[in-house]
Amino acid sequence: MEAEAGDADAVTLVLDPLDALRGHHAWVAGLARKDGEAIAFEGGLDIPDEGLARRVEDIPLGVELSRDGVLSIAVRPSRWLDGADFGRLSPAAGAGPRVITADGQVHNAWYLGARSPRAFEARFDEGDME
Amino acid sequence: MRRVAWLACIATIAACGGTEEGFGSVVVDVDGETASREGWPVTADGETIGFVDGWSLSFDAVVVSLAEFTLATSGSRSAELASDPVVVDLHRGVPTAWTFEDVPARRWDRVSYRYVPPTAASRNVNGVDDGILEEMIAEGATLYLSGTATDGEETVTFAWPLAVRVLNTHCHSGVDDTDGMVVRRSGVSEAQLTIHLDHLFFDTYATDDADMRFEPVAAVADEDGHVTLDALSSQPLADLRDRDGEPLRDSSGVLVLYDPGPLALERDDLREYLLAAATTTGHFQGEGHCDYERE
Repeated sequence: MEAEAGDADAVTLVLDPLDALRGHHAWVAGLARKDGEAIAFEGGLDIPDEGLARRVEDIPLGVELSRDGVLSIAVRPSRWLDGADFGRLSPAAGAGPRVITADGQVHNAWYLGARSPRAFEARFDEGDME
Repeated sequence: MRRVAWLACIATIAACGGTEEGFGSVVVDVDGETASREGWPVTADGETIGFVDGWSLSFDAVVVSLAEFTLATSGSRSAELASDPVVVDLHRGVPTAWTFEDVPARRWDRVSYRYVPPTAASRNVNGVDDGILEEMIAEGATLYLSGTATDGEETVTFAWPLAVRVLNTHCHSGVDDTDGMVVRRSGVSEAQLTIHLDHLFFDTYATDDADMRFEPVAAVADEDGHVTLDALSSQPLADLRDRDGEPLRDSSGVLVLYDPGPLALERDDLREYLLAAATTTGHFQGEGHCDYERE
């Protein structure tokens, strides 16, 4: 995409759900380990289309954008689940993973973590676009 | 107080616009709204504002340290007001922070002011307690709140020096829905810096349907029933606890979640949330918003 050259202190993103993620904003599946216990989990993140809920502001950049450079936005999934307590996920009905539901603590922690500017990294590389 | 540029304007009055515009006076009051004086719940215009979790609160002190009230235009002209640093206690009334004479009469569409830490040289406008002022200076606090809250069973006290430097700029008028204000010729024009204390207790900044809550604050009171600012750090936003240490739920049984929305937090805990929320408290002429920049 094209953008205007000049100073850029920060980046703002708007998060929209994707069909590829089963209609969610994000999807995770994994294994959490603590004190010798392992918990398999999976689930989707939903962010309501209300107010500023889908906006992520003040992702630090601090560069002068020039012609023909590349602006990269990296996601840091390691930040998403800061503060999540997987032990509070309800037991799975069968042998499958525990499911992250929208009314639980893990979803709340993810909801905050995924929308934090700390969950993203913006970088600008000067040079010709390939 | 007179404008510092007034003498210069005598020599070059046409350049200052004086002959065409005339001059007026500006009185700048600071208002913490009824809540700063009477606490919550409070009823105004038939609407009751208060905490959704059953708490009531009264303040003992609501001190704000302010400086650099400015009037300017989008064309970069400044009224060059000499606004010295002041401290005011909004629990004690609606004090006048500054009065400016001989201000060019016109629309000033760029209004701004700052929350700055006080110094020993700050002018104590309406009897701010010396001990509070000393603590604010020591802590670099621009806001200081102290008071008592109760839910009918438990009573807690708090005293918080909030170290947040804020530039409030591009202030919009809550009176006539325009940018800035008009200084009337040969008259007295009133400006009000309105401090919205309810923002400190909002549970979301992502949407405009925030509720005011106090239970997460009260839950970290010490054995004497006092809540320190640092104790709020023990409340992670993603895992708020009640006073029994159990997950905090609302009256419907839903986990309580504080959503900072676009507020920038260094850590996702209630202390940082409160400090970030404090940056949004400064308004103009009632409900008028400013652009908030934490400095």
